[in-house]
Amino acid sequence: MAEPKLSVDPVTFEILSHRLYQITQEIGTTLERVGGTVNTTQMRDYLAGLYQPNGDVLCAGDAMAWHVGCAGVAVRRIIERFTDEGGIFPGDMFLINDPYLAAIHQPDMYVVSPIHVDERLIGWSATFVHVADVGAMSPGGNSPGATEICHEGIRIPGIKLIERGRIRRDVFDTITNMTRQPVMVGLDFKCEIAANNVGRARMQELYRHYGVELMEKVTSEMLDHTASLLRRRLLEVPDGVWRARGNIEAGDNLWNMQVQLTKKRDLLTFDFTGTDGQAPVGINLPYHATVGACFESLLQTLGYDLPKNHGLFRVMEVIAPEGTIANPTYPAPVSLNTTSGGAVARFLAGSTLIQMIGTSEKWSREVTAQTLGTRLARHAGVNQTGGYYVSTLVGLGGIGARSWGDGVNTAGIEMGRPSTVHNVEWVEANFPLLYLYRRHLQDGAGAGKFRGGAGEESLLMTHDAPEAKIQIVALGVAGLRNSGFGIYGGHPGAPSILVQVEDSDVQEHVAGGTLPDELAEAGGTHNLLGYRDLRLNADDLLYLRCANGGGYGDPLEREPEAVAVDVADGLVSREAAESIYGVVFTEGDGVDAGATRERRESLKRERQAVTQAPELPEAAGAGTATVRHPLQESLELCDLGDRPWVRCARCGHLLCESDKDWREACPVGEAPPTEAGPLMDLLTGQYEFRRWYCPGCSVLLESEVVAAEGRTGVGR
Amino acid sequence: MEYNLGVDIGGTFTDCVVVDEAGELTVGKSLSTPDNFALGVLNAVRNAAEHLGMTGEEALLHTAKLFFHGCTVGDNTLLTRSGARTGLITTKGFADSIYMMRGRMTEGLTEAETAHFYALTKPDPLVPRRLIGEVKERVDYKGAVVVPLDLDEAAEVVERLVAEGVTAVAVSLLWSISNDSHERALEELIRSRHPDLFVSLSSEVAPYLGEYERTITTIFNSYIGPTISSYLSNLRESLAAKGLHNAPLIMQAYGGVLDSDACVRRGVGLVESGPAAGVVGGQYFCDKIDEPNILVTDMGGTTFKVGLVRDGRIEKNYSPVILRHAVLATKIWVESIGAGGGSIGWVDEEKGLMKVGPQGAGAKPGPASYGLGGTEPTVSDVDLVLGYLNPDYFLGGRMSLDREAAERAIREKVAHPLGMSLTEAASGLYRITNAQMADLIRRATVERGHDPRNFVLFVEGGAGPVHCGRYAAELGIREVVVPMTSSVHGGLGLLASDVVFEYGKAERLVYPPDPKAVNATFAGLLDRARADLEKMGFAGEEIAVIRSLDMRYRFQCHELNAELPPGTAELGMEDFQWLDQAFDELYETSYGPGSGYREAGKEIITFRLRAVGKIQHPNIKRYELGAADPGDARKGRRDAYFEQERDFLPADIYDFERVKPGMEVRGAAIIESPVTTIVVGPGDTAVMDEYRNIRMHVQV
Repeated sequence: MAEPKLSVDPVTFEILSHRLYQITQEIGTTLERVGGTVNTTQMRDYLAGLYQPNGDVLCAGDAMAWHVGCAGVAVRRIIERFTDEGGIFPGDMFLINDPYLAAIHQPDMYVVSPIHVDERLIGWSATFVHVADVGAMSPGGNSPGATEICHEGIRIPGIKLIERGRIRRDVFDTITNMTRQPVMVGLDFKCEIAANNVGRARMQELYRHYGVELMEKVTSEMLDHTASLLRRRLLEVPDGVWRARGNIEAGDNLWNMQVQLTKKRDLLTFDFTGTDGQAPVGINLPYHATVGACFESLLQTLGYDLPKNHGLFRVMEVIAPEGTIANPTYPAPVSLNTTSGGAVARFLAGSTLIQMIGTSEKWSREVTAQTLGTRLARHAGVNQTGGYYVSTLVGLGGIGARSWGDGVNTAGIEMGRPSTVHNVEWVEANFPLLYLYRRHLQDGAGAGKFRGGAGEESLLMTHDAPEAKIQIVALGVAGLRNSGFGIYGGHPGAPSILVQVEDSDVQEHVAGGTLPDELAEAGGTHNLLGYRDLRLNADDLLYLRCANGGGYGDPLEREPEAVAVDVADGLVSREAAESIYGVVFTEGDGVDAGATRERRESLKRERQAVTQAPELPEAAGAGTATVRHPLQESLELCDLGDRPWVRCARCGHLLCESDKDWREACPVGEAPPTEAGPLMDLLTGQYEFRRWYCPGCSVLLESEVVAAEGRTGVGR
Repeated sequence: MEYNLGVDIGGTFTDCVVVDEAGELTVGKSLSTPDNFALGVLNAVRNAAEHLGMTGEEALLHTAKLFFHGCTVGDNTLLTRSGARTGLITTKGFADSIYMMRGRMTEGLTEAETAHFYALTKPDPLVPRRLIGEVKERVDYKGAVVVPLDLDEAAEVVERLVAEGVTAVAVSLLWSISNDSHERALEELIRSRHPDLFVSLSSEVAPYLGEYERTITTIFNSYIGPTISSYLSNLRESLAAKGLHNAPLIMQAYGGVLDSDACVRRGVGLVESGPAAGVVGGQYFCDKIDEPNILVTDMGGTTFKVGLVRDGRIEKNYSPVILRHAVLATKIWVESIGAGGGSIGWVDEEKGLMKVGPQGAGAKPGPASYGLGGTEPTVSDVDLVLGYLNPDYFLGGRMSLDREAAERAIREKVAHPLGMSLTEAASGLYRITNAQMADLIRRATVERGHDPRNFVLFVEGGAGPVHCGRYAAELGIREVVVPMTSSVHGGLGLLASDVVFEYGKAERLVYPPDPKAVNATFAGLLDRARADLEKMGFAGEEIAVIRSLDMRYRFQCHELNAELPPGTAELGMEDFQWLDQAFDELYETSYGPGSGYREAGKEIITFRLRAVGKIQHPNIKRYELGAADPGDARKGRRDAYFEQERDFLPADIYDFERVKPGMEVRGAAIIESPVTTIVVGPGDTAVMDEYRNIRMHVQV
């Protein structure tokens, strides 16, 4: 008998679940069709959700799970603020973007709308889009120079944009008038209004058709059903504690964020205690957004096929001390947080959850190397038709490798959801830019038994810019540890970077009938960009390298033929194939099987030589151990006598008792970052590449790029 | 007597629909022959000839005036990946565009597949990296040359690809839509060195903005071109040898036919031309019965498809998805889901939910009731258990169905795991199937700004008429048409087609444009159109031209195609004033009130010209309407389940062959024909009209 049992008949349940999902799809489609910004139409940086009368998530569409809970908080804030004064009436729509109350940062403007059937409140619809501008220091709403929230533009704690079905012209005009691009922001509001109208109309039809009482019963059951499914899945996974740390770089400073995930029976606790204090730069992440980051990661791992509703929140709690980056207080600035504090929080939650499911026989297939984030840039100025514009330059990053195969090359903008970028021709038709190339990055993807997905690299120059310059705001996740992280020995992906080339030789190239093929051939001065506002002049170039997926498992276990295909496809250089994968080629393009075998054996011998394996306590009766569950690709937990031990799943070598850190039982290699991949050269001197091997068979168990001595966080 | 023939190759059957000068229709059928499709074509023609009392296909082909043909050779070549070894020549620095795919990796996937983000992959490429040659050249958005084409280097690239064994080449350079001189020069280079290579230029095949989609379209064209060419010449010879005088006219996915020469140059236009023919047939019939807004649905064995006719015009898709890639080839807009007679009902054990599809049982083993070894309960099994299908009169009695096997499958796979009775489970599967189809139609209409209640539902496909009353009711649609040609509708669509050429040019103009610039661009397209149509023998009044513009509000990314008044007259400022307003209205109709943002201004993105060579089609025969009493056609009574009553009710059974125009059948009733079964619910009525279509009036 199937469990959990529903009290509503499963046919009606199935039909209504799909109808609700379809309504959110329709809300999202309306946003995309009416909206105008790259964020909305390409990055799917928006939300389309339906909520219960109290703000609980009823159904969230496909896009931006991160915001799902935040919009629920927005609904609650509106209820608190307007119930007694101002009132909540049929046909109203409210605007709210205060990050301390509900939103993530100011450019994400939430519109929430009560839905009534015969004067009875039956729920809410909610949307947000990243609007074109909010009148902050920098165009587009992400301000690298802001040191407090008052520098970051309009902050609305809740205002009626539509009153009983009529647009409030005063409000609409006042807000759009405070921005650099009233027309575009007006369009953004219009798309949100149109989308909420659609959501409300469809919900009203649905509730009328099936009756409010039945709908209330079914919807509350949907939340219970999702929660009980997730609880059962959690019970299938071993209990445990997992930790992860990440850095945020801004300017010359480095902040630390960390999380400890504790799983006990069917409850998950994410504890961000130990994270640095809030920063005077906009990397801080409001508490509800920290919760949202954990929610999104949970959805992608254990909950990808479950309905996106409030049931998922019931199995988790999030602890984040006040006054830290993970829970800032006034007046901490926040405008850069989606690609800094937020990116790291999602990465940390994802990393700990991935470690957790890696210990479950049933769920370890879902293990995917995680990516911290990627660079992108705002560009603004006068375009070739003479108009002022603000837009976002984005590229495609690669997904991390999976437990069963390679990551996907150039898969999306951020590595958590489907997204698309424009064609080169679209960008060049609309903006005064010309691409010199846009292609897969060679040697960028993290090596491993399964390779990470390669990211994009693009080189651009201004072209036909009437002012002979444009403005650039270097955004996205800054820092050299922003890209894909390897897992279970897999190597990290090359960092995502933005480079400004001042006074390049490009015009000389053009005069000679060519264009530079490589960044190195472009001449000029190269500036690696952090978060910055800058000007791109006529002879300057902008180089964008997106995130690269991390590898999975030991690169020496990768099929040599797969490496040969990577070389033919230009994803891996011959040098890297030989030094990292140990694959040797014949005169042509074929793999020399014998030489490859020898090369791999010799690389394994070198591993044993790096450091002396520590003395181990004698494990009596190793042969009688029984496996309890996996720990990762090459390690497992087994019972030996009455004690649990960690042992190598490849050779059976016992490492230590499970309450100890198995790394301490392993030979460890310390090397410069370039051993992880040639494009890690930017990290040389500041970081080192550390690898842990099985003392028995030398398989690579874990690799990590760690900050060299003396480079620590500033926040404490 | 002269005949026109429409021969449509489907997945299982090849249909031949014949119309004579009096408008009388005759249908021939034969199994499709994938190894050599021409064989099935001849068999179907022979079958039709027999129905006409002729002996052998030669007799019919000798007297055939026009031979219309719908083929799946393009689709098959792509699906089985059996096309030419194809190389790509592209601009230096941009070879990876076709792998990057703009990140659009969820195109063509189901909802469940899309949701599983960490399991996503990209489709396997048709052209591997080693078969791509980059050439040094660069043109900018205005068409200005930034870097001239290096022909010496290009020659080396071509030789390398030839050495790799390519037999077809796609040439797609950045901004060739603004300046095609580099693509032309490469074409000349290739032809002079290797005249046997099949070459496609992106500026010819898909002259539209967007290098990823344009390049993929050009690759598809080269990849399937040689196969299409040999298929069509083989077919042409076989038919000529059997006496056909005129060359066959081939159906295009945009709705219209071309001769084989034009067809081979742009083979990508053949892909998914099958469903298109069905929609054209629907439009043809609805013209006859004066219904301007119709939803054409087709429920077959594995999929359910929807097309749309609004204000008498078929909705188009200018960037359809083929093999998980977005392409730039105009196609009749058809959306589909995996819900057909063969879709499997199952239980998601973990979630305790009942599901239907998207997995299907296929032709083999097929539904449990077919007795071919299938054990999974399919929608057809559900239809049998609920009493809709007659186990002894399936396909007119050519096949008998095993009711016990159907019951067993539903009981074991669905009813038991959910603790339900057989009837609860079967009716649940029936409801879910209908809800899925209703959801697709809802998406097809409301998301495009239309109210489904303003449409007539047109039902094609063998399984459709069992379900259409229910999904119509769920959508509030009252009028349903089950055409007499329901199961061979593609064939009828072929017979109703004209010769159609489509031309396009990407050119960006801020609105209101200089009329001179617009007229000059259209004049260029018109010259090509006239030349192509005249070559096929059309002249004067037989030629109709429809010009249209893809426009958008500036800063918005979504274009809409706005048709200009018919004809070829020069356009003036007053036309653009009219269009300004017409576009605002079109936008609001499509995306909802308040969606247009006039203040942002408008721009033109793409010019399109559709040139029609009109063919004189015989009128379908009309019958006199007789008495309403259907008593003579009644052949029995059996119990069937009706959701309206949540119970089995006795239903009258009618023989379609004996139903006469004007007769009115009241539900609960079932009308059985040799090719389909029409379920008329209690409260619903069904009338046969003067063309022998069943017009159903559904209570909502």
